[in-house]
Amino acid sequence: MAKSNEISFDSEMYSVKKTNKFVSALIYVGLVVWLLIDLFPLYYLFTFSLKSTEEITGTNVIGLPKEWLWSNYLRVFKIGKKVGASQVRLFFANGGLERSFANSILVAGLTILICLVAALMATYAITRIVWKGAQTLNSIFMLGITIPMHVALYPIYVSFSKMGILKSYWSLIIPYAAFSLSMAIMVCTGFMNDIPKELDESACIDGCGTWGTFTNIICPLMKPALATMGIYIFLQCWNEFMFASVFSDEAHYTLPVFVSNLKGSNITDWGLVGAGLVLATFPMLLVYVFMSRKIQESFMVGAVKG
Amino acid sequence: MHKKNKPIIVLLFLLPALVLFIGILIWPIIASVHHSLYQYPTFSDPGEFVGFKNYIDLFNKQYDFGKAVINALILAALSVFIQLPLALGLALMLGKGIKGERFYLSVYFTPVLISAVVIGMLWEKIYNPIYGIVVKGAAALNMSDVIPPEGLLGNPKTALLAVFIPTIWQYVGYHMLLMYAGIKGVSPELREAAMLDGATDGQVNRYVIIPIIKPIIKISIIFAITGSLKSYDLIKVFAKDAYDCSYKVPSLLLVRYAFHNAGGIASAIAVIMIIMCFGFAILVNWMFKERDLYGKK
Repeated sequence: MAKSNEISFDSEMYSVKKTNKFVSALIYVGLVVWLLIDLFPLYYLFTFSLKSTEEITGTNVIGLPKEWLWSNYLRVFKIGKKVGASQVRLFFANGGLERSFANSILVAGLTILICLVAALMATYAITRIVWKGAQTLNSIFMLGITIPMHVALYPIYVSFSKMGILKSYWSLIIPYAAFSLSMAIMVCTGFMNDIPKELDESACIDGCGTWGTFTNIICPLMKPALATMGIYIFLQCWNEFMFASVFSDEAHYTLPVFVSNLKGSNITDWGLVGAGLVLATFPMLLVYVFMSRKIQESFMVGAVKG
Repeated sequence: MHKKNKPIIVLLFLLPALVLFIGILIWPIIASVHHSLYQYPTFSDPGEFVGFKNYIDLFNKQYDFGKAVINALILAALSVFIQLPLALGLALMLGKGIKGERFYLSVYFTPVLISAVVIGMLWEKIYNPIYGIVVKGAAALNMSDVIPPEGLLGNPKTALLAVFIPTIWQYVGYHMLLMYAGIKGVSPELREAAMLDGATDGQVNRYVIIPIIKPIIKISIIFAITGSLKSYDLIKVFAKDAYDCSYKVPSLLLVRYAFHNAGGIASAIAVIMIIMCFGFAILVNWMFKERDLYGKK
């Protein structure tokens, strides 16, 4: 992307057709319109999360709240908790917002760890060790990108319930890690092919074994790939709903499941629902403000490298 | 590395990935095919062997799977023919290099990061037939009769469209980002050379940029189609009852039957979904293959 700055050319010197003023104005109008379309629902969500039911339903539909009702937010924290427990017990009580937040982070963190370790080791075996069938195995792994996660739901449910790990963190972590694996191997392969093979050879001459080369030479150089993939997997786990809603109980609810439960109980209490949605969404958006480039990159790398 | 040890070392390195891949991806496919030939009234009891009866029954009135497939295909078509051109248009406008490019890009991408559950619940409020902003907006413009009284989501004629709008809203940014990355990867010399030859912006886009980013457009199309075929989260939030809803899709029925004592039917849906996803991926790949000298693919 830096390239475009290096080569500049003076449009005055050549007979280049300049972009029509009218057209470029139209482009800006188009861009701004889509900008507003993107932001308006979020603005609407944020404002109704702070309004009373009367304001939402009639007196003030799209304006800023007349009275900023932060109490809507406090009420969200009370949902799903056993009343009367001590503060410490509250956090670990079933189903509260903080609890599902913590669950989401735990599940995503362990998924990233397991998936990346498995992917790194497999990629090493495929790209760095010469053996018959490495390419075939790689293309079999790549088929995994097209397999929809939904089809595994019923068989995995049956076998997890037989193994007794249903309604535990593992019942989410294992499928998430497996379904991110193909993408992770693909991205790691791209990055690992860019590491010169001479590094392995010199490590070998210096007496480094296969495992030593892998942990001391390759792994440190793969950090950028791991960061990119880690972000991608994190977002996939963070937003996953189908497995999370079927495989977990109150104690293991992740954030999307907690949010979906707001729906049944409080159909008329929009302020409460809005506050719950904002609390579930805006922390992620805040992270995005500071890491937008890195996050965008993590979504691009899979498609562009493939 | 000793030659003798090599197979063992390779196997050890592959072991974690193979266990995950075979246990969670490959085996469930085989199990689904197997389950789909039985009744499976409960999770532990396969019940009677019924052969392909589940596949035939699926299209009966009782299960109404045909409607779900048609809905998924309509969503896929809308994605490819409305969402992707919109994304391409935005990417071309941004990729040309304009003021505030990064800002627009970042805002357009924001909805991608939001959970589809949140988006579903938000849009459900937006569509609410009494208090929602769509109804209020229509009333303010004196166009109340355009909106059906049961709301866009409640009316069978408009429901699928009402499902599609939040989907575009969420994913245009994703496809735009992929295409933007591709456009930025096009060497600027090519654009300049074309412009020196007197090409207009439109011609540069049509004859230089789009042909070069074809591989990315192909991936976007595959993602858009398979994404539509397996759409679940948003629709699950909208749907009150999976069966009795005018915008049902295959995965919604899959989950419903899996947990309503019809594991065989659910497995048959799973098998059909895999075949559809692979089928479309192969079809799109084939369509994008370069023709050879004889005009054959």
